[in-house]
Amino acid sequence: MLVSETALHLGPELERAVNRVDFFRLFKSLAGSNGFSYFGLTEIAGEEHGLSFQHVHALHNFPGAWFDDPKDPVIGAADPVARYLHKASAPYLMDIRQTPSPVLLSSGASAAVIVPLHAATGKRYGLIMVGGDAKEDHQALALIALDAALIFQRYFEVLLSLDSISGLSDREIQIVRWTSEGKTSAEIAIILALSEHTVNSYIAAVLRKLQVVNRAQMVASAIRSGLIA
Amino acid sequence: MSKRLDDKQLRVLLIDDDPAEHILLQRKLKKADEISIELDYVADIGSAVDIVKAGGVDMVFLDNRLVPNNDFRETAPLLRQAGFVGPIGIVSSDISGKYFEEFRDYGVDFKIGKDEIDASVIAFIVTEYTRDQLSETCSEDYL
Amino acid sequence: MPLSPENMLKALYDTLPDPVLVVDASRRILAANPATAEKFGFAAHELVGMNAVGLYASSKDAEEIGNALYPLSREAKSIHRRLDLRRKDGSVFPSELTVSPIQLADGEALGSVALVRDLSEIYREQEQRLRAEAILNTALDTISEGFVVYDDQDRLMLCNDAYREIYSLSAPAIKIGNTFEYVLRYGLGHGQYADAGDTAEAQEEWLQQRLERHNNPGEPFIQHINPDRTMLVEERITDENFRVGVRTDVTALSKIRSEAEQLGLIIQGVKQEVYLISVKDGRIINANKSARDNLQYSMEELRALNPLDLNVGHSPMEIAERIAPIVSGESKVIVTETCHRRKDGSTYDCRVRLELMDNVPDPVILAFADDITERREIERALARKEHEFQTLVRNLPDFISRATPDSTLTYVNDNYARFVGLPADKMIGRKFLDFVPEEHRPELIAYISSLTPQKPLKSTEQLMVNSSGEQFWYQWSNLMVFEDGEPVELVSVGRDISEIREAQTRIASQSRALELRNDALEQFSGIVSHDLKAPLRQIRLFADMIADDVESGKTDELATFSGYISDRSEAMERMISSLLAYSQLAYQRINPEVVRLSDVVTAAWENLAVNAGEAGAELVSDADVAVRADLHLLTQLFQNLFGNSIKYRQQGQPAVIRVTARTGQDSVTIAVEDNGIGVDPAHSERIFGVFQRLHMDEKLYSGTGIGLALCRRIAESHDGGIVLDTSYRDGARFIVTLPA
Repeated sequence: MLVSETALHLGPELERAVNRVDFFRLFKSLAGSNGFSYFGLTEIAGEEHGLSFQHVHALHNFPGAWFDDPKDPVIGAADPVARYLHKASAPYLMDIRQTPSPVLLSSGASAAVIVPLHAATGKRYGLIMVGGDAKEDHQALALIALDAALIFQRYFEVLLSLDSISGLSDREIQIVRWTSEGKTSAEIAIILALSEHTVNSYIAAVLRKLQVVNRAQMVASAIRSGLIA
Repeated sequence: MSKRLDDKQLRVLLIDDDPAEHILLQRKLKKADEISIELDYVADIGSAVDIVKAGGVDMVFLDNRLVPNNDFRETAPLLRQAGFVGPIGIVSSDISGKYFEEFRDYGVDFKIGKDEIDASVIAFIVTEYTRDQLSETCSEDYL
Repeated sequence: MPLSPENMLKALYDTLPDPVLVVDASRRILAANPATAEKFGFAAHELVGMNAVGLYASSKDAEEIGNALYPLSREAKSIHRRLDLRRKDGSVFPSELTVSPIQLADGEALGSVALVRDLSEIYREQEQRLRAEAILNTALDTISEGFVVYDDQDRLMLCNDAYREIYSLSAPAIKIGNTFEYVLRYGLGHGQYADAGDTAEAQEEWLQQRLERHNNPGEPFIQHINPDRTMLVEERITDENFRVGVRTDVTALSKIRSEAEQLGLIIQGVKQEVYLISVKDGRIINANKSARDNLQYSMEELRALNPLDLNVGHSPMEIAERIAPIVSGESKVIVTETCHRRKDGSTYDCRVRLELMDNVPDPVILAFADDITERREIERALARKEHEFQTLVRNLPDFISRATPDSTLTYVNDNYARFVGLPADKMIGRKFLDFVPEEHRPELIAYISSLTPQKPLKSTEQLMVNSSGEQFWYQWSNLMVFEDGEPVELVSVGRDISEIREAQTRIASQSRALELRNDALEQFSGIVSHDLKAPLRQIRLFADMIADDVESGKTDELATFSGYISDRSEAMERMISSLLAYSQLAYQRINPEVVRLSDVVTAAWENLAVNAGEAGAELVSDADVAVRADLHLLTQLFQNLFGNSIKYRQQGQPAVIRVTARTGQDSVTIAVEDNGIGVDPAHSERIFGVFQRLHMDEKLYSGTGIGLALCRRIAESHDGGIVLDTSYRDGARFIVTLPA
């Protein structure tokens, strides 16, 4: 596989990261530069829940074949990785053969690095890296945890925290306004010279910010709160 | 909504003035066995515009430096002007230039270094840009 | 002869100066002595036998006397009374009449004897005395002083109206016969004495003192009747042990005196020296304490001195001359400056104000002197400061001006004036805007009116043109002085910042150049990293693919992959060589010398002889000018341009390259044009970048990719430049400029 010549995740790219692809690249770079082929980041829900990589903020490059349902990549609540993340807050090098994790064993690796992460909102996330020859090295583990926390911090600032911000950006307001005039995402994409995906990303962000579930509610709420006329 | 192509092949257009890049990407896609992609290739932006106008392109991988243009800021908007609303990703040997920070202002969805591209990145990008971001209740029919 | 009673009586009868008459029972005069005849004017014989009644002036008196005495009897008594009698001539005189009956031995009444005493003289004296007393009383009443006399028993004998008026509150007690003490006590009880105090003790004490003084009078003393009335009390004891007192009203006098005293105290106390000089002899009459202290003389010593001895600032002649107008009365006031000598010989400068006081019998000069030593020192210090300031202002390289808010100059320093080329006094009164280039005036006016009390000081940079027409940049610091919110004066200091500005401009242009170079360098490193990394990455990937295929037994594409690898390696080699060449040439130290451009062009063409020959290219050069340049680098520049022209020639047409040169005022412009495929004007700048490819059909990185970048680098290192003439349509045309 290819390995970045420089620690991409700590260079200027960290500052320039603006979307999920960028953070995917950063976490992948972190994993790769530490000898791991795969990584997965997701929110840690309640103990009864497993770790779902379908989560809106999840990032991962786990092959679908590892999971029972490739369309619904979930590490079960009973999996030692999930159990560890539920209770612990320290980074950990887990021997996945001693405490077998059915999902991660698919990687063919014997150990995984697990880094619990904390968002400023109190939500907890977990970063799992697997697919290398992880050795017992506390210093390396600490450095991985530090780098992971740096990237996650930025990820939170750039994307996750938007969920808790009530104000809309100029772009979001533009898109809500066009939506209120009955334009579809594709039409808005053409108007604004964006991809439909980007338009939908904005709409999804607005739905979260306004705590509504559909476009009609979004437009109504935006008018009520005076965001659009 | 973007086209969900669960069964149909995803059609990706690579625009790069170096044909070697086409060969290299083809090989990488072959390794990403989970996703099935049909890769088209053109060497210049004029041909690319013709192709996206013809329709059927789901995603574009655009080389940053296409001779004779300077960089993506000159080329990506041409695709948008042609009515393309699918995701555009800039691929480049070097994405460290300062102007990459503003890629979204030029209608670009993501950027990636050529040396970063591998099967898992392609899989992520495809999943990311083909998945339904909005719930069923948010479908446009509902409006 | 013995003196018989009869004889003695007879002698008495004849010599008695008073008339004696003997009258019978029928009131006939029996006998009268010589004095009678003389007193009444009758002859002696006329009297005898005359009825005595005829001597009475009043018949009533005659009847009363007759009734009292007649008919004569034993019981009849002597009568003694005063009445008027009449002389023979009818005149009447007052008299004291004593009539006694004359009885015989047997007691039978014979007649009466009358003794007349002329009272005229006595009455006259008495009258005179009374008249004198009345005059005295009237006189006492007319004088304004209170006058009083107490007798030896200290009872009031006499006082005048003024006295009663003075002690008006005591008036009921002021009665003849009352004692002094009684009058005093009454007065005390009725608030007569302002000095007496309020308490009974104080009043009693005062009373005792007053009585003591009254009994043993000494010097006159002052008594306050009330706060507004002051009496001078004088008392004296007469030989008869009477107390005579006089009260003089001295209210006005004491008032004047107290004011004069105050004035005197003030004059004594003021710091200013005050002298009173007699006009007559020029001597000092009086001098206040300041004067005495400063001069160190006592009053007596000063009086003995001649004022001229004190004045050492001028000769006596000069002084006389100066005070002449005042002595002559021509002028009332003179102010002059002189120098005074103290007793110890030290001196001090003073300013003297002399004033003639000629409204007194002996005219005096009142002199006020101020010791101005300190003031002189302050003035000297000020003058020194002023001088230093002037020197400073003169020597400052800055311009200094003061102006009214409408920019009318009130002061300019020499430097400013010299710059403008006018004498300073010719600038004053004109507006400084006149000395500012016209196009800058509106800006300057706006700037000055933007000065506010809140922000009165601002700096601006101003282009100034001196009298020789040279331009300079001045930084003006302008301070508007405000009074009550209104601008009153503009103080400006201008500093020549031409050099600084030049340096700034130089630095700015240098940093612009540096910025450009940094951009170029960034672009360069970006391109190098991109363009060098790209083939490397591909080489590695193709090598991986070959390995994969070999492993899987696939062989059909191996040749293609290895072809790419070899191709990419060659490209990299070429790029690295180019970079080396570029870095060697681009940052080479230049050795400028005067060279003939024709030599340079020829050398460059000869270096390309092989390529030119192959392409059938032709050079037309008309460039025989001299330039100052590095021969080697300039040759490289033209070689690159010619090389490009040969490379990008039209297919099927030989390249024709034309070089023309034109020498301008301070630069040489060289045009190199060809008949090739030309360059899209859109790329007119980009072509000067490193590794820029312009043509799709070009084999990847064929050529060095740095030719034009190098040309520009060489031109710029000669302080020149190279650009594409975008207006040229028949091929490519490059314009090279070099300093002459």
